[in-house]
Amino acid sequence: MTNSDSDNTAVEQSVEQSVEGGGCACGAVRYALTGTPITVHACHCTDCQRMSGSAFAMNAWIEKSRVELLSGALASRTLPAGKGTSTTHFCPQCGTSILTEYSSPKFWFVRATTLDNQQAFTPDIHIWTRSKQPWLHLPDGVPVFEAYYDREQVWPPDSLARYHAALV
Amino acid sequence: MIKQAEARELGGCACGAVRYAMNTAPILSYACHCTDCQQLTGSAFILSGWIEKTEVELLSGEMTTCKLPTGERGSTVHFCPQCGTSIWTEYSPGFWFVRLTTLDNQTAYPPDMHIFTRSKQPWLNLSGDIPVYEDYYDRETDWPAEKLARYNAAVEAIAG
Repeated sequence: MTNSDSDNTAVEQSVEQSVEGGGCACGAVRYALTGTPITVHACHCTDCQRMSGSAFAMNAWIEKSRVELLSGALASRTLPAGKGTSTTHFCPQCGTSILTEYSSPKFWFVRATTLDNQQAFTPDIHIWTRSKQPWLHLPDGVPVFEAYYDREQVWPPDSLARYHAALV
Repeated sequence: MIKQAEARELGGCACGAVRYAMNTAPILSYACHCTDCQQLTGSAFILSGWIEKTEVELLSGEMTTCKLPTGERGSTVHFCPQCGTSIWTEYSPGFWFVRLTTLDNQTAYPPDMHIFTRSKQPWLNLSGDIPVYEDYYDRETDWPAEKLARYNAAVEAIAG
């Protein structure tokens, strides 16, 4: 391999594997995302409102293989959620929730504003808006679902491809 | 206009271990868009109710506390150690800042104002009647007289 080949490979990897660092409020937990999310939800369900202390949770849906825990240990708790369960992982020292597992063990839902770049990702889809805070205005031009949605109808093909690849 | 709740409201964490009561409406409710609140919530802002500690009762459960260097004098977050749900924070002695969506009636108190919107999520639409402050605000001029009177009475009571 020549020097120039090696340089090109390095450049391609840095573009593909954009790394976003994140962590909890006290700094004990640090993690990295080694890719962009498949999709980003703003979830307005009553559970997310309670657990976040906000009008919705901003959840970045990503393959577990693209999330690396760099430091700290997370506590977890499994709770009933809809027809299944959710397991929230939070820093036991400061209570900041970082990751949740919902329907599949293949994916994390990362709380997007625990990233150091808190504006890295914008919600692609607003869900469970039937329980949204009445005073909140939702942005124009973004899909809004009163309950959940059919991913095959809503997601772009590349998101669907990633989703199905992760399930294999 | 959304009618504000007046009566005692019950609330708690996601797993049910922590339960509490707020005996009256908060002095002030707000949405804080600062970067610390975004990190702590995993959302675009926190919905907090500023209330005298004497108006809040812990009914069951125990909370873990963590002191953080947020705000002017630091803050102490109180959360359920079993499920991680944060319930309230102390920013100044004598007052709790209660996370209002941990109330069972999650729409009881819409925010009176948005603060620290200079760091707000760019996609968020804050148009409407709720006052918006890029940073903080001047309590003496920006709070209604009755809220200011209640706050000052509480501060005097705390000073003893």
